[in-house]
Amino acid sequence: MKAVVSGLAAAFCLLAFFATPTRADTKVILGIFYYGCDEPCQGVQSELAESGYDVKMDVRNLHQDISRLPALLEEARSRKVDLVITHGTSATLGTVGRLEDADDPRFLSEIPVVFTQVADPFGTGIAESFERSGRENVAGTFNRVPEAVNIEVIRSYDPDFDRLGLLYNSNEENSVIKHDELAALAPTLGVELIALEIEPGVSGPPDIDRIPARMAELAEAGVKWVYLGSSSFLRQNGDLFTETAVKAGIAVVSPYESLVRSSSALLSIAAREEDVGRLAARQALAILRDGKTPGELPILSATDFAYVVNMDVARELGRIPPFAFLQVAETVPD
Amino acid sequence: MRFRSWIVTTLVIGIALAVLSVLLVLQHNALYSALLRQRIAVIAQTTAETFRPVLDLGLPITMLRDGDKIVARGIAIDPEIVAVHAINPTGIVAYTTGTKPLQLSQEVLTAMRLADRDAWGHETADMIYSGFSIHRETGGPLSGAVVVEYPHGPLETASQNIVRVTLHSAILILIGTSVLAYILIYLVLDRPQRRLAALLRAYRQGQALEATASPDRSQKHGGLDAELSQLARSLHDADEAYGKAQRAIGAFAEGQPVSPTHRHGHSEEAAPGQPGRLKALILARVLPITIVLLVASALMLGTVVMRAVTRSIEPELAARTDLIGTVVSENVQRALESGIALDEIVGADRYFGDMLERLPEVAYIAIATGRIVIEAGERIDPYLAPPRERRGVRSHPILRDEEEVAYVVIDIDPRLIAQRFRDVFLDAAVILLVTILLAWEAMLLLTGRTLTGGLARLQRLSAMQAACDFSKRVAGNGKDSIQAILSNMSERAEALHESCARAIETAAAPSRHALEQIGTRFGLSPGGPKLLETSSFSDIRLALFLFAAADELPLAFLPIYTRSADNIWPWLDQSVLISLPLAGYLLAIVLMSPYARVLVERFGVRGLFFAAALPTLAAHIGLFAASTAQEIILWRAVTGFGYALVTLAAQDYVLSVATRADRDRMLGIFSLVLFGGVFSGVALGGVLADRLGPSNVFLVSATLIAVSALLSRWLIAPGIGKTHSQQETATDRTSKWRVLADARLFALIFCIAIPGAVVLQAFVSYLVALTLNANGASAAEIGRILMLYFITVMAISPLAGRLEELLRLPGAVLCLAGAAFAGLALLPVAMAPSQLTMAVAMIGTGAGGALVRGTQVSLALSLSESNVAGPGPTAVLGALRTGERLGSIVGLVFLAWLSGVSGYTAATLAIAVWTLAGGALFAIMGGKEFLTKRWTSQ
Repeated sequence: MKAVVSGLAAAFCLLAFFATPTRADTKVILGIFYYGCDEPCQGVQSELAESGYDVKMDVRNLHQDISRLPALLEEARSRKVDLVITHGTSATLGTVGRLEDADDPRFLSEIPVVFTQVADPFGTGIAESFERSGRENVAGTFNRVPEAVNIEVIRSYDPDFDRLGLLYNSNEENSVIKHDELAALAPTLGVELIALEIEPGVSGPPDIDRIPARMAELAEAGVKWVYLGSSSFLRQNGDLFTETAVKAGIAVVSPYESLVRSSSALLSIAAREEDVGRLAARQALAILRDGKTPGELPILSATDFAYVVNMDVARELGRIPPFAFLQVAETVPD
Repeated sequence: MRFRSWIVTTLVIGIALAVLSVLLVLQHNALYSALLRQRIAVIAQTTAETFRPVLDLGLPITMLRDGDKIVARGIAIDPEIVAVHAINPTGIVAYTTGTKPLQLSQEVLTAMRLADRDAWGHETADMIYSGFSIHRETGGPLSGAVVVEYPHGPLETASQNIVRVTLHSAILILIGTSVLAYILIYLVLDRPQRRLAALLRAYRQGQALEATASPDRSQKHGGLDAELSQLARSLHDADEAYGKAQRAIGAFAEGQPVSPTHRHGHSEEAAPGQPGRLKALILARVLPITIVLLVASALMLGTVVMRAVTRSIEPELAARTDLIGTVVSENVQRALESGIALDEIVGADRYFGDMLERLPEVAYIAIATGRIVIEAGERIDPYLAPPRERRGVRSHPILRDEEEVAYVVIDIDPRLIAQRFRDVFLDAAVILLVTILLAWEAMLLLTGRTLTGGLARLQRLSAMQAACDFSKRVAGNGKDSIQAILSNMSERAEALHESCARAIETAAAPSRHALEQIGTRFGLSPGGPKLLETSSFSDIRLALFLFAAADELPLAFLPIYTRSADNIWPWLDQSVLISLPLAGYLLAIVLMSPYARVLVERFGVRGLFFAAALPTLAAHIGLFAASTAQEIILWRAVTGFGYALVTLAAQDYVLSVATRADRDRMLGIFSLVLFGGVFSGVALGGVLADRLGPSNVFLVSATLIAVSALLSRWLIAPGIGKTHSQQETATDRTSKWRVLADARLFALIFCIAIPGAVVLQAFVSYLVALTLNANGASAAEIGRILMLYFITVMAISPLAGRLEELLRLPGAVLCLAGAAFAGLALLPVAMAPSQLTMAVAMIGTGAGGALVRGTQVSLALSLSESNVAGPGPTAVLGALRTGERLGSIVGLVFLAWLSGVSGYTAATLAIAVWTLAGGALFAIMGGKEFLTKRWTSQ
C-alpha cells in the first residue's frame, strides 16, 4: 500500500513538474539590500507583485558588509540577471561606481541597475542630474528633502533654534558628504553647526560605545537639536543614538521615519521607505516591461512626505509641538 | 387728457419699479454670492493654512503625505461642499475629495491668477468657487492654492425668495400708486379738462369761441386759462383766416379780385417758432404727482426689498461665524487627539492670531474651560456690541473621551457687520438714484410725446393758421377731439393748397401772379402743406442718456478686463497695454471731433446718430467676444468714434431746436443729461459686472445702444441739423496751434487743462479701478466710488459759472483753486490707498475738475477776445480741447507705464504733483495779474 502511495506521489510530482509551464521568459531582478529585506525591499516586492508582470526578485542581504559585493556582482553576471536593484549609497557605489567609472570592469555596465535610498546621488557622483543618470545602464530614485528644509522644519518647531549638532562617521562616504554639505549650508541659514566625528582616525566602523560620549559633548556645547545626517552605521544603531540623545536633553531629527516611529527620534520629515521601494520597482518595470533605456529615465523623486512627531519623546524632552505643527503632522504613538 | 396722464404716470412708475426690481435682485444675488464665497473661503483658507508649513519650506504641495485626508476635512465640516482641491501653482490638482481632474478649468485658474489677494472667488452657472492662494512671502510667487467648490443651489433658493418678495411688492406698490395717481390726476386736471372739453365742444359745434376766451376769465384763473383763451382765440382766428383765404382764392376764380391784406394781427404773438405754454402748464400740474409717486414707490420698493435682503443675508453672516467656530474647534480637537492636554498646547495664540488677520470681522477667538486657556485678538467692548451680534457666544464644544473639556468663544466685531449692512444700503441708494434718473428721462419723453403732444401741436397749428399761415399740416392717427380738430385743420390747409393750385392753373396770366401772391400770403404752395415738426430736446434726451450710460458701463472694470485678456504683444509692458483701450478711445474722439459737424450737416442729426450707433453697437459685441487685449483696444477705439459723433450730433440737435435765448440753458441741460447717463453707467456697470460677469456687461451696453439708436430713429425729425450753416468748417488747422505763442493760453492749456484731463483719464478712468481692485474691492464697490466723481461734477458744474460772480473772483483763481483741490485730494490716496481715501479723492478731483472745466473755457474765450491776435475763439477753443485730449492720452500712457514700474500709489502721487506743480506754474506765469481781472482784460 505504502509503495502504491509512494508511486502515486512520485507520479504526481513528476506530472506536476512537467505540467508546470517553463518560465524561461520570467524576468529576474537581483536585489542587493544593505539590511536584508527591510521596508524598501518589501515595497519593491509589493509593487512588482501588484503590477502583474512576470518578474521575480532574488533578494541578497549585504549584512552591512560591502566586502560581500564583488561576489554578488559576479552572480549577477553569471546568471545574466535582467536587472539589479541596489539599496543605499555604499551598495550603489560598489555596484556602479561613479560617473567617471563607466568603463571600469569592476562595476556593472552591461546590466541595468536601479539604485534607491541613496542620500545624495549627485554629490556622490552616482548620477548626473534629476533629468538623467548620465550612464546608459543606471536609473534611480531620490527620497530626501533638501537639508535646508530639515533646518527650517526645526526652526518652525522651535523658534529659538540656532545650533545644530551632527555626529558622523568617516568610513561611510555618504556620511562625510552630508557633513560637508551641512557645514556649508548651516551658516547661510543662520545656524551654527557643531559636528563631531564619532571616532576619528578609524578607517572601519566606529566604536558604538563612543556615541554616548559624543552626545554628551554636544549637550555640553549647548546643542538642543541633533541631526542624524546620512549614516548606515547610526541608522543601524538608531536606538542607542536616539535614546542617548534624549537622555542628554537633545532632540533628534531623522531622515528615517522608522527612527521616529520605532526608536526615540523626535521628528522626521520623510517619505515612507516602502513607498521609496515602490518607486524603485516602477523604474525597474519601466525598463523591463516597457523597454525604456535606464539612462534616459529621470531620477524619480519620492512624494508623500510627512512630518512625524514622537509625542512620548516630545513630552520627555518637554518640547510639545507647536499648535500649527499638530495640524499637519502625524503623531506617534497614534 | 386725464386718462393719458394716468397711463403715462403708471407706465413710468412701472418702468421704474421693473428696473429697480431687476437691479435690487441682481444686487442681492451679488451680495449673497459674495457672502457665500466668503463663508466657503473659511474652509479654503483653513485648509490652505494646513498646507502652508510644507509650502513655506519650499517643498511642492505634491510632496505632502495624506493631502487627500487634509482636503477631506473641509467636507467633514460642511457636507454641502461639492469638492475641495489642493492645487500646485500651475493648476494641477494634487489632492482632492472628488474624482481627480488633471487640472481645474481655465476660468477658475484665471480668477486665481488675476486675484490681488490670497482669497479669491469665481462663479459659474453650476458652481461657486472659493479659493485661497498660498505664497511663501508677500508678493512672492504662488506656491499652491486650495479651491472649494460649492453648489449653486443655496444661492438660487435665496434668489428665488427675493424675486418672489420683489415681484409681489412691486405689483402691490404699482397698483397702489396707480390708483393714487388716478385720483390725484383726476383732481388736478379736472378743471383744465372741463375747460378744454368745453372749448373743443364749442369749436366743433361752431359756437362763438370769443365767449370762452373772455379776458376776465383768463385773468381770474391764471396761466392755464390764459393759454386756453389764447387757444380759443387762435382757433377762432384760424377759422376767420381760413374763410378769408377761401374768399380770396374764390374771388379770383370768379373773376372778382380782392386786394391782398396783411396777415392776421396775432401772428407776432403766436409765431410758429414759439410753441404755446399750454403743454408746460399741464405738465406742471402732472409732473409733480408723477415725480412724488415715482420717488415714493421706488423708496417703498427699495425699503421692502432691502428688509428682505437683510433677512436673507443675516443667516449667511451667522453661518460664517458658526463655520469659523467649527474650524477653531476642529483644530483644537486635532491637537488634543495627538495626546496632549489642553494646557500643554503651545503656539495656538499665534496660530489663531494669524487666522484673525485674515478674518477681519472676527475680533476675538478663545478656548475656555470656565477660564480662558487660549486667546487671540481683543475682546469687543460690550458697549460696542449690540445684543443681536454674536458676542461672547459659547459654542462648539471640544471633546475628549466624549466629554466636553472646553468650548470656543468668538467675538464678532459689530462695526464690520454694521459696515457690511451700510454698504448694502449704499448700493441700494445708488441703484435707486440711477433708477429715478432713468425714469425721469422716460417720463419726460412719454409726457412730451403722448400726453401733451397733441395739445402743443394744436396750439401751434392754430396759431399759424390764425396768422394766415396754412403751410403745415399734421399727420392724423388719433380719434380724440384734439386729433379730430387737428385733422380738420390739416384738411382745411390741404383744401386751400389744392384750390389755390387749381386756381393758378386755370387762371389767366395776369391773375396768376396775384394768385401766387395770395398763395404766398397764406403759405400755400403747389406741393401741398408740409408736415409740422414739433421737435424739442426731450425727444433726444433719453437716447442720449442711454448712449452715455452704455458707453460708461465698463469704466469700473475695463482695465481689469483688459488685464485678464491674452496679450499677443508680449514685448509691451502690461500696465501700458491695459491703458491702451482708453488711450485709443480718447484718440478716436480727438480724430473724429473735427468731422462731426460736417457729417451732421451732410446726414442730419438723425442720420448721424443712427449711423454712429451701429458701429458702436458692433464694437460692444466685439468687446464681449474679445479674447485678446488687442481686440479690446480696437473695439474700444471704435466706441470712441461713436461717442464723439453721437454726443456732437446731439449737441447740434440742441442748438437746432433751442431758441437763441434758451440756448445756454439747453446746453446746460444737455451736459446734465450726458453726465447723468455717464454717472448711471459707471454706477450700474460695477453692479452688473459683479453679477453678470464683465463680458456680459458689454451685451447690456450693446442692448442700450440699440434702444438708443431706435429711439433716435423714431423721435428725431429727419431734417434737423442738415440746414446748419457752413461756418467754421474750414477753420485753418494750423491757426489753433499758433495761439500757443500766447504765454497765458500756453499756461492755461499745459498747466491747468492738461493736468485736469490727466486726472480724469489716468486717475479716474484707469488707476482708480486698478488700485481699488488691488485692495480687494469688487466691481460694484469700484463703480460706487467712481460714481462719486461724476456726482460731484454734476453738483459743482452748475455752481462753477456762478462762483465767479458770487465770490467776485477772476476765473484764473477758480482754475487755480480747482487744480489745487484736485492735486491735494490725490495725496491721501497716494499715501494710504483705501476706499475712504479714494472716496475723498473722487470728491476732491470731481470738485476740482468741475471748477477747472467750468471756468477754463470762458477764460480761454476771454483771452481770445483780448489777448490773442488773429485766430479768434474757434482756434483758441480748438487748441484747448485738442491740447487737453492729446495731453491726456500722452499722460495716460506715461502714467500707466509708471504704475507698472513703481506701483499705483507712485503713479497717483505723480498725478498729484503734476497737478499741483501745474497750478503753481500757472500762478507764477500769471503773476500778480491773475489776482485781478487784469489777467484777462488787458
